[in-house]
Amino acid sequence: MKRRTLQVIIGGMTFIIILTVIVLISLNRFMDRQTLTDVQRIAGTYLEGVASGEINNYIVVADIRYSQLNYLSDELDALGENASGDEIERIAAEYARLQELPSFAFVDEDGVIHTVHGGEIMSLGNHESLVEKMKAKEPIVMTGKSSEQDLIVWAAPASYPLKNGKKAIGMLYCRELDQFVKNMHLSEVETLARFLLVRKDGSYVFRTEESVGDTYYDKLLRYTKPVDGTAEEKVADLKEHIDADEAWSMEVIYEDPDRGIKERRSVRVDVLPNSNWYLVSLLPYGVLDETIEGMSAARNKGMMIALSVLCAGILIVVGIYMRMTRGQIRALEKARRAADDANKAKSEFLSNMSHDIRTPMNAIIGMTAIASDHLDDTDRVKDCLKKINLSGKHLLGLINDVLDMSKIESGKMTLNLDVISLRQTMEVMCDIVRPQIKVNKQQFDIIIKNIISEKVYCDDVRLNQVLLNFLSNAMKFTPEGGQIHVNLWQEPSDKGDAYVKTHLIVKDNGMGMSEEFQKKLFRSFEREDNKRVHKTQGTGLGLTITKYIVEAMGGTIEVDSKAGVGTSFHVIIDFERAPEDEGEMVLPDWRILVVDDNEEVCQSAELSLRELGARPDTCRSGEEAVSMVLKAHEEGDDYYALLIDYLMEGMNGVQTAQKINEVLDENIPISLISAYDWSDIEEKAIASGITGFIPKPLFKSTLYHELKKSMCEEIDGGVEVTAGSDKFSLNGMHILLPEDNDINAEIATMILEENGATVERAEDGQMAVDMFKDSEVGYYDAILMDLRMPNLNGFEATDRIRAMEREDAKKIPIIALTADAFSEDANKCIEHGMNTHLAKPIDIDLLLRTLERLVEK
Amino acid sequence: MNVKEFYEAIGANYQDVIARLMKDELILRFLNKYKDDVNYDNLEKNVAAGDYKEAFLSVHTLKGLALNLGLSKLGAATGELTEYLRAEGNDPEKVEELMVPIRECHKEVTENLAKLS
Repeated sequence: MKRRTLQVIIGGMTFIIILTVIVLISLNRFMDRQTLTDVQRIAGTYLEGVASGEINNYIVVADIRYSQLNYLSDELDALGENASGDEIERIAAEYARLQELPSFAFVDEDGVIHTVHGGEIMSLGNHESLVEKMKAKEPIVMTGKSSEQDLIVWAAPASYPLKNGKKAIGMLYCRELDQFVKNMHLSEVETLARFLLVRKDGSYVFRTEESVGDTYYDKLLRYTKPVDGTAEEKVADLKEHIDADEAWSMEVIYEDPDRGIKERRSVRVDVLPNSNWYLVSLLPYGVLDETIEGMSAARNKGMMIALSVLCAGILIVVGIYMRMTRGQIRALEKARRAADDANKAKSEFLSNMSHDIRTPMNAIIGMTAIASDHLDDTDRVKDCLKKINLSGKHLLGLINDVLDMSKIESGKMTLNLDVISLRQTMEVMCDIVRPQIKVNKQQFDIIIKNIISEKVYCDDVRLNQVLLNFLSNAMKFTPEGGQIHVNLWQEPSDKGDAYVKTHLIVKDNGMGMSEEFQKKLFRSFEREDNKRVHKTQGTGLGLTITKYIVEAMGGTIEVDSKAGVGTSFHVIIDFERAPEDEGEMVLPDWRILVVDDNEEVCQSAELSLRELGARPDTCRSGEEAVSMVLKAHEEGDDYYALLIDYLMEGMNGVQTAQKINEVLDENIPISLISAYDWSDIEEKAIASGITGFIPKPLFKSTLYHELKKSMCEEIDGGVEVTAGSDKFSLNGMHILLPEDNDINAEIATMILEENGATVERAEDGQMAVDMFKDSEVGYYDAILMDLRMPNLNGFEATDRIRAMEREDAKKIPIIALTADAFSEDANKCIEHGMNTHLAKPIDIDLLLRTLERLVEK
Repeated sequence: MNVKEFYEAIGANYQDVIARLMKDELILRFLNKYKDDVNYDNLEKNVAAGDYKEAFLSVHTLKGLALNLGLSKLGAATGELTEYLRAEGNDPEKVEELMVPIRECHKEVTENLAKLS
């Protein structure tokens, strides 16, 4: 995959670079060609300009020469028609001498040249043409040779007699050829352009460095390669143009191995007027080529740089793109892995769940089957139903978790904020977890301090869920005898006075969690996977839900755990404070002693009590407490109440209470503080003279309400200890109900039957006596006796029943049911041998408790 | 008018009654029986006849009935008369005086019972 990507990228890069190179090379070629064409055009134009300049130059020179000739001919004409040949020749010679001409001559009709001044003209470049032209009265220029030097000969037609009687038809005005050549720049080789003069047949008018070969044509044929076409074609073309007296040009490569020259040249041929000559202008490209090459080189260099920059740019872009792509791929890979993990976790969860759900479900089905097989065995059925109930609850818990989770995942979970009391919440929680703690034989304590605001705005149900989750985890993963502690405290919130920062720590010294597991602790559907955990059941959703709830409340959860050492969950939530109805909570200035070996509990309780208006003292052990109580007694300022922690180092709460009651006669109410269930220690506690029980956590309001209650009970003259949670049942009991009033009878019957008793009604006292007499011994378990009845009233009926000669006559509990509870009737009941009396209307709880007490005896 | 409204109308505590008797239907059944109960008529008869001993029995039963049914005002009123009649030597004027609230309460109960559906 990665390799393939790399291949594609490298291939692509190579392709792009090659393409760029090709494009650049083609561009370069095209530019070169274009430059060449342009240069040719420029050269052509330049050459044309230079040539026309040269021609002008020639024309100027020619004009000067001919005007000088005209001047002479004017003077000669001025001699008149009869002037003699001598005179003509003399004046002409005189003129030539003044002009410092190297030679001057006349030509006669026969073409004989008569030199009148300077060196004798020996030959002429084109003698025939001269005569022809003179006869045609046209001027001509040509080269010539005197006895002394090479000449340029300007010939003009004339008609003068000569000395020898011949008639001159032309004058030959000669000047030094060198001078002409110089004036016409014909011998210059350093200039950009060079010139040649040729005749129609291609012969050179005079030779210079450039006049190579016999004729110009010869030169062209031998040394030049035209850019287009062949040399032969060009020569033919040139000849045509020359015949037609037209200008002509071409581009050639000139190659002359003898002179070591190989260069490109631009060539142009123009007609020189009034002569048989043609001006050949040629422009070697040497300099131009150098410039062009320089340009080309510069361009190539530029292009190479451009190419490099382009490639570098492409490389950078591709590099960035690749990095980005790679990053994306990596992110994608990560996301995929996360999705895979989640999926895996979900399917694991499903398999766990199906196991977890199936287990209680199987239990329910199995127990139902057992129960239906043993319908007659009540105990068996009862046991089955109990187990079914437990399994059902467990199943409901699982399903609730899953539903909560799906609510969270779809974002539908909301908080119902209401005023809640942290005290109540904690108490409810303690009540819920206590039985399990007892079963697990774990040590449980709850420590509260610095409570700023008991009442806060919060979602009660969800907060309970959070607390219970932590606690049930702690209970699940803490072995027998392990410790579970709950700490709760508050401090001012960063969010302002309207809020209070509440800390809650649930700590255990159970199995703890591995570090790896802590990382994914709050993820859905995960549970630490090891053998110890496998026997512990759960959805693995609890903490996820908890975390979500805490976060929805704007709080945080910190976990501190070590495998094998224990776990501590620390929740911090800023609650909005709710108004407290503190005004009502005031206690008299009672002197109260708080005994607890935990200093925080002592401090917190002391603070709360002081705020309530009491005078608290604290000490940290039972021994200390005893001496403090004695000291207070000696001071004559006895404690109004003692609050003693149940679990303490040294003497525990019960022992302390016992000791205090031993050493002190004063009946000081002693309340036991404990996070445990009262019913567990009730018996021992009551036996040791403990009169009250205060459940932890010790909120201010807890203290207030519990102390207030003990105050009221004191007035009532005793502590009412409520019955245990197992409800006494009337199942299978036969109750005799003497009651004359139908409605009262029916109500009583209904209530009793509702609780499992079989009721038999007697309509008056006599009937009741008869029914009891006729019954088997022990058939009736109790008699609920109305007092006012026709025929025989309740008292008389009781007398007769008690007087019977049978085993159960004295023992059967007879309870008076009367409408007047506090009247003399009550005493009369006891006198007549009834066990007790109950006031109408029938209070079922009281009746049950009374029956429980009496029937067992 | 339902049972709850009935108790509200006669100034009694519905919660107490429902806690004891559990169901509205049961309460309704007992209340309907109260209509047919003879104790109030017996009380009137005995008081008119000056038979205070019998009157005591009647009013005592009536009190128990009233308390069982949660008719607290009637219960209190009958309670007064019960305690007065418990001793010997009753003053007829005093009895008449104590009968007034009983009659009022009984009237209130029976009137509202008629409205009860």
